[in-house]
Amino acid sequence: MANPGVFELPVTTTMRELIYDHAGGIKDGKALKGVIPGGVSSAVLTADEIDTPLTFDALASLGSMAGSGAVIVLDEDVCMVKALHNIQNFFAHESCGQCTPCREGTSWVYRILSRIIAGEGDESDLKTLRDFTVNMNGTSICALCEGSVMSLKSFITKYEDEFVYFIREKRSLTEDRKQGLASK
Amino acid sequence: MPTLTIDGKQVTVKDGTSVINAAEEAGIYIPRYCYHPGLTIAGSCRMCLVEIEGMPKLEISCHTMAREGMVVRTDTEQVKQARRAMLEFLLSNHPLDCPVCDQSGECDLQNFYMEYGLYDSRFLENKRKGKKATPIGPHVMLDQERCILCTRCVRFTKEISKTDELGVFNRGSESVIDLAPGKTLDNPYSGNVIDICPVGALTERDFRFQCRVWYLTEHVSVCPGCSRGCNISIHFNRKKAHKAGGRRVMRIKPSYNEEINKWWICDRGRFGYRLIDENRIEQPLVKNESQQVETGLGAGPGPGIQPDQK
Repeated sequence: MANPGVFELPVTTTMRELIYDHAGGIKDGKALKGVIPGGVSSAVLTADEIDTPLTFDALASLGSMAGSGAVIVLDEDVCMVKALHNIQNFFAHESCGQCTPCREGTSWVYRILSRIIAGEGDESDLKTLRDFTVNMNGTSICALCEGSVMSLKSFITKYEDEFVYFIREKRSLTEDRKQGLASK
Repeated sequence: MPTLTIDGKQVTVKDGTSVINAAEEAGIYIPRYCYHPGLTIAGSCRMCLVEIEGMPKLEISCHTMAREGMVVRTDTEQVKQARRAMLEFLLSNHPLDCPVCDQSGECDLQNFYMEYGLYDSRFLENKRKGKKATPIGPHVMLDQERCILCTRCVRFTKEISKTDELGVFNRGSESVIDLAPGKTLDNPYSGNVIDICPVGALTERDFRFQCRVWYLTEHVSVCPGCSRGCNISIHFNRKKAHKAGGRRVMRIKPSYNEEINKWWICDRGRFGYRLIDENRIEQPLVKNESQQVETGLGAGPGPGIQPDQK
């Protein structure tokens, strides 16, 4: 961001206003790809969804949440597969290991994503990840597992093309686009 | 005395009964790993998830108390899917070495997989590594790779034997069960952790590789060890005794008795069974001046004990 910081604003402020008016827009005039509204446990919003006000109800209607209010803005150069890999690393690392779905699930998700990024993705991986969004949701003791599901589900649904491309071509779609190897 | 409905069956249970036990009273067995009636509730394996009317999500039946008018379902698609999912997660890092595992045949991973799992494995990653075949005490062998971290053994050493030898170390998927630093599992009740381990992570050193459990016949009995009279179950193998050096009694397990020993027995009773097969008198013996000599039935008193001569 051109002007990152802590902002205290009425909840009726839209995400677009927050990003472009208050935080000064994205550095170097880059285009927006997505925004995580409230910490990595909340579902990512696409660039088309940023006209939402930051109220609890409006964000909930988009399947996301205000969460901690720590807004993470992802510009056009961010590879969503690698971004999700980073996020899931956090969940796998933070899992306490007490209950089954979180202990085994978060690390499994992280390892699948690591494999995809290493260029060893399998065609079945996306289906496995999609199944986990059901199997890990609402079965754990605390909400860490559900938080990981929220980000996992939103990333692989909203940016499915990037995941499919990475698994098939063994390369990042975003990086290929940047180098002109893939069409926009 | 709440009355609740489980899978359409009405059952009235005592106050403070959990749903998992209420279901058992109604004749419905809910699969579980971490729950054991003799230990505190951990609620961590998530295997006993059930659907309860009015609850937004599945609830664990071991930690949900029965209430008046509760409607529980254990056979819906959502419950079955959750059980399948938990099994898949539990088995993802499990070595699947059943052919060389002593627990094979009495393993809850095997049993529940056959009943609720039956999916194809899709774990493409390398499995977690851990300590294999590590003796942790005079009677118990630990295999961390097979462990599903139900923590029954940890709770046993904390709550029943009160010796705290075992604990969970590390975090997340790196969690392992191990001995506390400087300790060995040598309390007089250590054998019980073998019984309560639902998988092959804790196995009996004495019984290890002696006999497959499906060759065993069970017979309920009373431990002859001391005057307490713990209820036991004798596991014996009449047909293949030659495989274990003539041993017929292969092991002794506790048998539940609320009044006397509950689910447990001591190690002396458990491992003191060898006297049944060893040095057993199978022929009449006659004592002469220096030793006892075998004799046939009907041979009468031998020269050693001639009452007339005394």
